[in-house]
Amino acid sequence: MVGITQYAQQELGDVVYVDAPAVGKALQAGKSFGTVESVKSVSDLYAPVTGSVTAVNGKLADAPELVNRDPYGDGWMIRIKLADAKELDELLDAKAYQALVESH
Amino acid sequence: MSYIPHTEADRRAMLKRVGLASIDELFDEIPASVRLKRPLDIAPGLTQMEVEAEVNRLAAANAAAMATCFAGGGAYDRYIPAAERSLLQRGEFLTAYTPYQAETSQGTLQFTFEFQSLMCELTGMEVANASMYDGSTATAEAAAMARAATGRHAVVLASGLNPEYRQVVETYAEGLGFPLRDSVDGETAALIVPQVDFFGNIADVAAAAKTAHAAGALLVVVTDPSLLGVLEAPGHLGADIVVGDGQPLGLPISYGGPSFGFFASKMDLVRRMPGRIVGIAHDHEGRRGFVLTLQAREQHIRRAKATSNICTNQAYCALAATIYLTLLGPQGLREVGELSYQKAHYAADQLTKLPGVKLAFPDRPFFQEFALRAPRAVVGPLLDRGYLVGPALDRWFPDLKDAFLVAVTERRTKAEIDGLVAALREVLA
Amino acid sequence: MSEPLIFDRSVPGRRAVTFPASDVPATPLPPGTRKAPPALPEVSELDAVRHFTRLSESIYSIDKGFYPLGSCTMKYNPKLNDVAASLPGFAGLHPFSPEGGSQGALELLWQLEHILCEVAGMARFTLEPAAGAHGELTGMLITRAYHRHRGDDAKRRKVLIPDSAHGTNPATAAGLGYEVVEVASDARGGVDVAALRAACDDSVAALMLTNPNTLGLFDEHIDEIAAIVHGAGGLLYYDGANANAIVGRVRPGDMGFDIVHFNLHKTFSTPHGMGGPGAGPVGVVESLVPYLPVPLIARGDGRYSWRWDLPHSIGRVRAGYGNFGVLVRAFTYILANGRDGLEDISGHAVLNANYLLARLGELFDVPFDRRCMHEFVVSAKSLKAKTGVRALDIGKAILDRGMHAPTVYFPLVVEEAMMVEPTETETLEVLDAYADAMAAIVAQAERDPESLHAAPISTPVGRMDEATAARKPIVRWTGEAAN
Repeated sequence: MVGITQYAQQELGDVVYVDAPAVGKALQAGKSFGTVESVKSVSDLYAPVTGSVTAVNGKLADAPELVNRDPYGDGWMIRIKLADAKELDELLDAKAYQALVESH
Repeated sequence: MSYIPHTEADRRAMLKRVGLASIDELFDEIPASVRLKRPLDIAPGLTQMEVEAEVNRLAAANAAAMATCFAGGGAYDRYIPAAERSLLQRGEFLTAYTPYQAETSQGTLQFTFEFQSLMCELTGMEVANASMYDGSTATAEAAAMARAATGRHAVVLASGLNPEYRQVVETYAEGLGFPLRDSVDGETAALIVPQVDFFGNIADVAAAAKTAHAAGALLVVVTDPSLLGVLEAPGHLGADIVVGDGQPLGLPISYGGPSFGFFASKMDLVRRMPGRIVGIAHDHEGRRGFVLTLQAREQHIRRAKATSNICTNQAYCALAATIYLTLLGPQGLREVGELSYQKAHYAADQLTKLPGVKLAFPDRPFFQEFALRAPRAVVGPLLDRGYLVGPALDRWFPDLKDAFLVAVTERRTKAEIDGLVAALREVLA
Repeated sequence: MSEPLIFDRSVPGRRAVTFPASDVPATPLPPGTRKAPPALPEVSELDAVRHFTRLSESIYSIDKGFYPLGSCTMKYNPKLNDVAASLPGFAGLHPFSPEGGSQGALELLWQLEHILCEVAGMARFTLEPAAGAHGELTGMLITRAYHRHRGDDAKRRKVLIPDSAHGTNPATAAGLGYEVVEVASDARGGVDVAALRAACDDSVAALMLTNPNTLGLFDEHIDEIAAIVHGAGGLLYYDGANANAIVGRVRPGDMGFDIVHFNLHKTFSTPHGMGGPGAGPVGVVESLVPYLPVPLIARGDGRYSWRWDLPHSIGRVRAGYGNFGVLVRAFTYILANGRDGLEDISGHAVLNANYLLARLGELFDVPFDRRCMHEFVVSAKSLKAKTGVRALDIGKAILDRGMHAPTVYFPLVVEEAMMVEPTETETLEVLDAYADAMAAIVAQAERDPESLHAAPISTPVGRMDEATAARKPIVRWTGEAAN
């Protein structure tokens, strides 16, 4: 499941729209798969892994504020079926990410 | 004359504050190699009286502006109500800029919301933007938006489209890199058709919608909004995007500008729409107001990925149309359309009684404008007699030699139409 | 109390304008006429006059007060210009008038074009583009046509744009399919010449540059920049957004630029009209004249005419000949000012900006300690660190003091940016009043920062909830009361 981090939602401010791909779309790790808009900014969403989209969070169309309220829960964006499960090992968990953000 | 208020004492005090001795020193950081070392080669300034005399001289040298206007081709001599002309002179409207500070721009934002609503009402669409440069650029932007919305690349222009619009779409197509094709197929993003074509003939929009939609393309309708008190709203005939030029809604013809382009579509296309959009918002005390909204589409935020590069639009002209439509109401707009229709048909009847004069498209229903064939070129000689018709059509359509357009608006009286008929009789005698 | 929507004032049957009854025999309407009339408002003339008068009263304008919005050149718009544009000989002239009946308009456009050529140091101008961004589009289409004509277009895929540029620059270039390459600014706020050199090779189509830039700083390395770009075979595009600083002092052509657009609504004082109309004429050097849009004006035997036979032209960029009414206003303004007046404009615009910078520099951070041109950028970074009051709050607080905010959060290269452009038509007293108001706001920030987060409080509405407006957009009246 893919969304954005607590840190990212704070930096963006009030999310007003999430432009997510259609189910079935093939994604490549590190490439943009959509955008997230706040009132006065727009940011690309990057796929953390290679795979295909198996679900899109339909709730965000009516309630994009879920991304701010619960980025790791109800504010998820898409579900990806991994092409290679080993890619997961490359990613950071929330704690390690927090440490990384704070070190900058 | 100068509009600079500084006295010598002001200049001295200000230069002292910034630690310089002269105004020229302010420009010291500009390398000497590029600086202009001579005065500009233009005339010295004039007083207000002299300026007025000079612009009066130039304005008076436009005999065509004094003629009785039967010219068309996209710009129409309509009546502009006195209250509209008066309201438009208010400095608040003229000298404000884009409503970036919503709290001190509610008037701008509210009229724009009203304008968007009026355009939706006229066109039968769900959303309209705050305006484009003109009808031709709005048409080109509609083609671009249809491409983004459908993921297809080709665009088809109907043959009756205003040839100047066609030229502009061709320029944009070349620049944005999309092909213009002659027929609709599975690669077509948009079919672009005029509701009333360049020759004044009424097109079958519903049939065009069927053709476009059967191929999975969007239908873009280009229309004259001043006729939509009488003609069916394109949105009710299957249009996905409706664009056009707003000049006939209370703007002077002014040698072709400024007017405005309007741009309306179905709601599901809104995030691909170019230009500014105003929406309702509330402040923290719950008071209703208006803001620029959905701004993440625009160049000042999305920069290289914006839906369009448009920034400055034609807001003041959109205000003119908002006031015009408010003053006319549904009944007034209907009268404008009906009177134009009646008078155009009377003029066509009378003109085609002259020997050798006939309709170029006798089998097509027309609205307020029609193409006439004459035995020889008549536009110039008619102007000599005080009647402006046109444009002559052979500039774009070589097989319509000695053909020209005649447009008749609600402003023309029977006496003026009869005068035109008599003048043409004389020219052809 | 807020003004109701005009639709909510509507009463069926009420009317303002009626038309004379038809004086010709009736013809039946064609089939397919409208089934239901559009729901336009039905009001009396007085209803309409009051509605739009009230709306106007809630709009801040130059005619009302100081409007130092950076990069927008909100100078006084002389009334004489509006009088000229509304003369029946101009306002009533049909675009398809034969040339013989429109010699006055053609002469005016010819004269205006040649004045702009002299001011810019260019060979010819097209007056067709309707706004600055439209001029950019025109200029970049010319760029492409030039490279294509040389057989060079396929490899010229990059357009270089400084990180301080207006959003229209990258939007224009990317819209035409170019790869936008951002060039960093150096420590003095100019183009980083080393970065430019590194980015320049035979894939560069053009550099788009605003000079002075959006920081209000003149790029001192312009000679070197031009040489680098030209050396790589690229063109130099001059974004004239800030031309009010340089008129009569330095010309884009002499700086090495190949293509120039002016914003007549900025430099040449045509009214901004709440966001438009503007005009964005584009000038080019001799070698690019063949690519200009059609038509161009020609003069021969004392007569003016339109020329269409330009085989290499990029085509047309709009119908008609441009925003003629705007062009008449700019021409009128230039006639009044003349050569000395134009030089005085840039001189006093720069004087006013430097004076106000000296005063505001005592209150805020000055990111580049240099002489500014017609505008400058200060930063609220330190104030924010100390009090939590941001550039946004300061902009809102100045509204409460009856003046207009600077441009905030632009350019993007300065944190908490406030971009101030006073223009030449403001008096010393006005500049002092603005600086005094800013000083009072800073004092208030130090004393009571919370009160500034609530600003403005004296305007018809306070800060709006833009997030909800964008999440659930209501962008038209639908018949339900919108309160």
